[in-house]
Amino acid sequence: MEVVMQEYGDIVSFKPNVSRLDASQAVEFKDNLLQQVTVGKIRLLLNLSEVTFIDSSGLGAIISALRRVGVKGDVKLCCVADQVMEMLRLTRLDKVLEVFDSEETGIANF
Amino acid sequence: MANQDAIYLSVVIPAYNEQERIADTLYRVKGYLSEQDYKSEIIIVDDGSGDLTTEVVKTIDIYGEEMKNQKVSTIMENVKNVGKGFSVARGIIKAQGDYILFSDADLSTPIEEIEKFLPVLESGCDVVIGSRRLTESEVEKKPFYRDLMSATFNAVVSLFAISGIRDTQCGFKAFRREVGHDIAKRQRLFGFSFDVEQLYLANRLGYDIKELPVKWQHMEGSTVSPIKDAIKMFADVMRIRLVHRGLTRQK
Repeated sequence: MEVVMQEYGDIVSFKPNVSRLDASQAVEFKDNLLQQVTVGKIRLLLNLSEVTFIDSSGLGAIISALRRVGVKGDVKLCCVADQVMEMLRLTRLDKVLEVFDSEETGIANF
Repeated sequence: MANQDAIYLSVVIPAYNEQERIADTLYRVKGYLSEQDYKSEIIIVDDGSGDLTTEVVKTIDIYGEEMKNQKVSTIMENVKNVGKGFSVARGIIKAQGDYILFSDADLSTPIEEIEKFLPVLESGCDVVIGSRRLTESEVEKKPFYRDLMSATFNAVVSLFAISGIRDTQCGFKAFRREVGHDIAKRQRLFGFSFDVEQLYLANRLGYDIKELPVKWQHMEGSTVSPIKDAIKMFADVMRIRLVHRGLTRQK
């Protein structure tokens, strides 16, 4: 999985270049995220602009990262497609994970 | 009270195209059960939903496990839409708890109502069913057609299948495990009349049935068709007697 990462101070934006964030990609995606947490990056902005489909595995990877960053860190999302937003709504995770329209807005709101 | 190592309560929830409300249901049931001092399990049976019901359940399981150390549910998926009765029977047969509660996915009867049921089950009663038609029942007004359907259906059931029960259709029923398994394995009707069949079986097999008043709130999203389903339910009641003729008492 190709991932574009960019650091903004202590915030890391994380953009997976896959259209489907499902069981076939979730483990690698999760490993990538947790690797960042392991080296102390606990403020993660996930840019999902390339992702058009997500399932429970993909959301599970994001939830794992949310747990690992702990109370001092945070995981936020930006550039979310309709199907992804629908899954967030149905699972009520839209009340747990903040979603922003752009990477800039997401960074500004950490 | 319960042996701390064994599952005390199993909650079986049948679901068909419930993506819009299964999350709230599951958060609520998981939240409630995780506060109890007994071990429990939740079994969701997805009856061949064409929506995201199963994915929502799986995601909430991951969330509960990761963020709240809650145990994941068991999700059973029917390969096609078979019927609510089939789903309930499948879930009950899978359940390992000392006591098994079947609850509708809309939680029309709040999960907290189980607290009234457990002492009765512990005292040795085999089947405890929620009722909206007892004096102490707290029932929010139902739409007129559903009230009429329910009253007519209960009269038909009382006349042709099992008498003495005021409300056979409340989606909140609990069983002792062995009794639940016995009844579920004998079920032959898998549509909306499965409740009557379960009670008919319990009665014919000699199991005790206790009806308890519950809180009940009408939830939007019912898929009941007043005329079509009423005719089908009436036919089902007649079938129950036919299918289970020759049944002998177990207790």
